Amino acid sequence: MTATTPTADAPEARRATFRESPHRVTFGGVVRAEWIKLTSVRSVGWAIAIAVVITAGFGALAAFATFATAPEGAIEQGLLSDIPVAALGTAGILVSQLVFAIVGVIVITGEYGSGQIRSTLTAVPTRLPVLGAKALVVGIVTFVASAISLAVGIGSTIAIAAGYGIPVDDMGLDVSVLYTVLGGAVYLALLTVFALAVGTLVRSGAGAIAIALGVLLVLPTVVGLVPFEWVQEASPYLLPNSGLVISMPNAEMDGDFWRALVVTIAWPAVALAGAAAALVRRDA
Amino acid sequence: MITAEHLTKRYGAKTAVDDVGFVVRPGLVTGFLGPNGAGKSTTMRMIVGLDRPDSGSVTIGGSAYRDLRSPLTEIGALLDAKAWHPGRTAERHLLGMAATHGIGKARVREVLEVTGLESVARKRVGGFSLGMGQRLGIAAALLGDPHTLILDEPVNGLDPEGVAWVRRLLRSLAAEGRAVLLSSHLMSEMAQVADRVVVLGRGRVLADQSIDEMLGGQGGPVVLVRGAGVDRLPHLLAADDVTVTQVAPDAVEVSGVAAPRIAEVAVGAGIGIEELAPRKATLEERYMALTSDAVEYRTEGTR
Repeated sequence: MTATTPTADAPEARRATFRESPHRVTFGGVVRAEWIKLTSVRSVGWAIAIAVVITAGFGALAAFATFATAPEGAIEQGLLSDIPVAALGTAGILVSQLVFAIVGVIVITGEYGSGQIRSTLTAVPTRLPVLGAKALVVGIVTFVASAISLAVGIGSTIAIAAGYGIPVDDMGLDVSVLYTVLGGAVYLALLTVFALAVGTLVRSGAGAIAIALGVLLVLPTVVGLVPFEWVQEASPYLLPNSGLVISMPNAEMDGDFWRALVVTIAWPAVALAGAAAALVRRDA
Repeated sequence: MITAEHLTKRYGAKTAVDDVGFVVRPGLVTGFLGPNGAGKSTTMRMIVGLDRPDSGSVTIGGSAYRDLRSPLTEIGALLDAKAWHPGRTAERHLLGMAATHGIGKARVREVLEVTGLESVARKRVGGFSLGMGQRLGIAAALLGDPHTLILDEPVNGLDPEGVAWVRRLLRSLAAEGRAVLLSSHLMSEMAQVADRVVVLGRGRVLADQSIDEMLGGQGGPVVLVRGAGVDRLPHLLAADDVTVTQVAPDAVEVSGVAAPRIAEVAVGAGIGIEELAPRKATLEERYMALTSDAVEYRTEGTR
């Protein structure tokens, strides 16, 4: 058995032959890398496109369904006035949140599944900047995409309502519509970051999607069904419930709103902290 | 330069890498040999910080990989498995890696050119053949123009032209003063390209020496003797450290005795020798002998 004693050639010898590299890993560089990766895989592009179509389309569909099925003469009698047009325009959030959750998950589990993660973590061995850059890039992309699609959704709702003869003055259009768009976009962006964190923790796409959908769909239902008061009281602290409060049209900026905003931020923040700890500690 | 000291990695009850130490020196190609499961890939993953050692350390130019501020320019790695998303093009994959370090598009184009991938740079890597994948892995390893390269089975799946290209590439990288660690199961290839070899078996270092030491080492040269009556040689040469193996009806291989002495004995006994050829042991033979010893050693150890 050869017990090897490294006869260390001095590292200086190597330095002499090579110039010090001008390149450094920077957070800006890691963000650029994550942007390149996000925009160069078809599945992510498709998922975001689908989410945009759903968000905008469902709003229009909800408006169309409401007015097309209105009883004869209802519109003329003003029975449909004061319908919160923005509420119809945001109907798509309930569906598109599921797609955005999947986007958040596949951004990281796609790397684990394909082996890309080895290239990623070899280039950035401190690892945390990768998670931070991913959260930033996917969060901003989701925010912009959902803000645009919510605006389009509400816009088409207004157009459809106007087409059915609802006076624009009766649509309740004020600054709260803007808050609705922003609130919805903030919720969807933070939800996507939450899903990213879950994906980082679980590493398997199927498992992470199951957990994310559990949080979005199963948890609120279960909490709604359990007839104990203390369980019921937990309801506002669930991510989808808090998210709907901040994206609610005409939401009052009262205690409920601020609590919902804090809850919506806390879910991804806690999940990210866990994901960061796991990412740094685990073998890739 | 890579320096591994007392490197140990356990997966549950199995010790994949057990107190491994070696140095990969600048200017040399160091071959990394060992049977499947010997711990080569795990060691390479620890070198680039993907896996954390349970004890011991491995440094690149004196720093742990995670402390490198510009890892891709220090060490380029081609690991055994695919390390890219199949839906991305080769160019975008490399651009993504390059962006982390602020390495420009020009360098990406350069490595695509060096590896012969320009024509497929805009193709999705999911459709790449095994050989094209190897070239992409080599391109990624070269991206930062690193001082040290570690390549796990780089010629696996390459055509003969590609194998020769990798051989020339590695030799020229070493000639430029870079340290190269190369794992391969192709012994003939390794014998042509490596200056030194580190042999692992069951997670331990079995040998760490130059190729010449490895080939010329213990046991001495093997001599092929052909002629009528060579079957009498085992009897004539009988001694503790001599082995004579019949390889054909009229030919034997003798080890432990120098060729002139064999000739003397044979002539003295009246054997008509038609051929007497000292044969250098091949890397494969040395490797097989080393690793089979390792198995025996381990069996004793666990008894």
